[in-house]
Amino acid sequence: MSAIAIILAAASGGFGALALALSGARPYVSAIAAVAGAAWVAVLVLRPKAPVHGLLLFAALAAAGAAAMRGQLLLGLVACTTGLFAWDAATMQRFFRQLPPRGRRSAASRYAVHSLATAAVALGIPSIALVIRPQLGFPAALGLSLAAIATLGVALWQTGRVFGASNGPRDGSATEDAAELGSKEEGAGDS
Amino acid sequence: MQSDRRLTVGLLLGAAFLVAGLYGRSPALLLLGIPPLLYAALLLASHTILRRPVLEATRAPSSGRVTEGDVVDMHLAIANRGPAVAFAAVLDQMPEGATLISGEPAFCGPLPRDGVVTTSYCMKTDRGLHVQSTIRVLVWARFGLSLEEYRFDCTSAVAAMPETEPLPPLALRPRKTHTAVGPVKARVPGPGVEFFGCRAYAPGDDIRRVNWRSFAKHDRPLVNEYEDERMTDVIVVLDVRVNAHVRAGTESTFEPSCRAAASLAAHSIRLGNRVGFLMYGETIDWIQPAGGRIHLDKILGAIARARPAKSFAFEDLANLPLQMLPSGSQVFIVSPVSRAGDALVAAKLRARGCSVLVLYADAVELECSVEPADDALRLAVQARRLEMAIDFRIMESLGVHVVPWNVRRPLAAAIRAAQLDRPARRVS
Repeated sequence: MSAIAIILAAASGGFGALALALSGARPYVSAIAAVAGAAWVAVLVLRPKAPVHGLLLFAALAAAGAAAMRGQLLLGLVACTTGLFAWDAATMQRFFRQLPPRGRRSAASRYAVHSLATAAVALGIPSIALVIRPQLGFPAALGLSLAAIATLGVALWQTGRVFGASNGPRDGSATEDAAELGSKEEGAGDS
Repeated sequence: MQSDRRLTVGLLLGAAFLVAGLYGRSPALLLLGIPPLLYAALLLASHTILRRPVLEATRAPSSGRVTEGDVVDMHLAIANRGPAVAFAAVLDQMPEGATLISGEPAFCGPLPRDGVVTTSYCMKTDRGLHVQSTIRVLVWARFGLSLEEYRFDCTSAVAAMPETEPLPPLALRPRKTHTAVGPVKARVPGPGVEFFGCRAYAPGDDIRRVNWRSFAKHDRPLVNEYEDERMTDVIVVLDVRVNAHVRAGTESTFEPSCRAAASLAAHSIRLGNRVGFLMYGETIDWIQPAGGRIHLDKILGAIARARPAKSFAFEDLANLPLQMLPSGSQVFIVSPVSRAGDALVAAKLRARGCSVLVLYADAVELECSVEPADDALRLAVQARRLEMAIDFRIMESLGVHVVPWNVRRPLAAAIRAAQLDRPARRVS
């Protein structure tokens, strides 16, 4: 699990630095982006529990944004997406660390597959649009963004619908249900 | 919802890029906002797919009451009454003071609909009350990155009682006894078995009790009397002050002292006495004298909970509440009596008419084992032995019996060495 986060953080830093270098930014700016990527990798290796992953994600996104503004949009998108998923993997580490070794392996491989699929979707749509139309204008970009927001709205609506109609427990009431069942069982045992 | 934070970050990043792109009319920034927004949307969709399983978790120990060092089997069962879960991790917490022997207190795998998943593990328990409360279940969505955590309050407790060892007979001679029959010689004539004396024959006396030799010698009938055997109050005082006990490496005088207190209480109750228990440390844990197996369990349970404790109020043994202890009873003090003032407590107990036996947990050998053997150590040991001899002499002069006990050896050996089973060395 840690390896996934390290690879993604390194990729984010590398792509960000490369994008900045190719965009014609001053060399020290690319060097700063590379150092930030290396620092993230170092944090993930040495102090994975340190609460600085959010800060490093912002650094990666800043590099990606700067590169995209200077024309390296595709590399910027890759750096942005890999940074986002590196942060996700870093935050999920604390759950994976609690699992027994065998379970950790299977959970990590499962996470890797699903993470890759999600990243492919998140990165694929704007990348395909860029490949089809390299000189993407503001109206087209706005349309794509609105489509993404619409997708989010649909997902939100579906979530509300499913959980609104569900008879299952909500807000952690699984614990309460279990406690109720437990007390019923105890009562049955007493009687 | 564990995905809350991730969802918030995705939404905020997407919104930030979107606002920046709109403000600067930059298609690049608008496009950069799409991956975080899609990430949030997919996370939500994954959460929708996950549904919420209806789970029941139970934990059952093979026994709720064991002796320290025994192995306990724990059985975990997770029943899923809701939709099937593609992948879940069930995590149980090991109690403090227990060592995992086999199995794992965790399970990873699918939870089928209306199915029960069980797992078990064995743990070895140290002395103490081992309470386990929460079982955590992490549930992953079939697709996507959503993860939910459920906590089940399944409190179960395993009490690991201190180990007791069989002790040789202790010739107790407390000043007061009860009227009920027991093992203690009461210094009054009665239906006992040990010869007590002779008195003049009175009408109604059993003819078989006539001492024919005395009759022949004194020319008047005399009958034998036997010493009555009655029950008495035995108070076991366990000193749990952290500054009184010695720790050397992984060993200390604390655990052997607990076992010794348990052994003395169990021995006295088995003989038929009423036993009270007082634990002196952070607070005063007092159990009124009573007899029987249930009462012994109560005392062993209190000893099982004993931990080295520090309190300014009970820093000295001098603050022992003597008024709580029944006057004229037999008192066992299990303590590495560490200060000169501690010995005075035994004297005060004597003044209240109690018979006092101090079981002195000797840690000199324990400490020697972790120190390099040189002249300085030899000298220190000699000085300590002299100090102990002076303390013992003072206590003996006050009428207190002291049994020095090397905690690395059996308690029975120390009692035999002190010849407490012989009438000539009866506890005063």
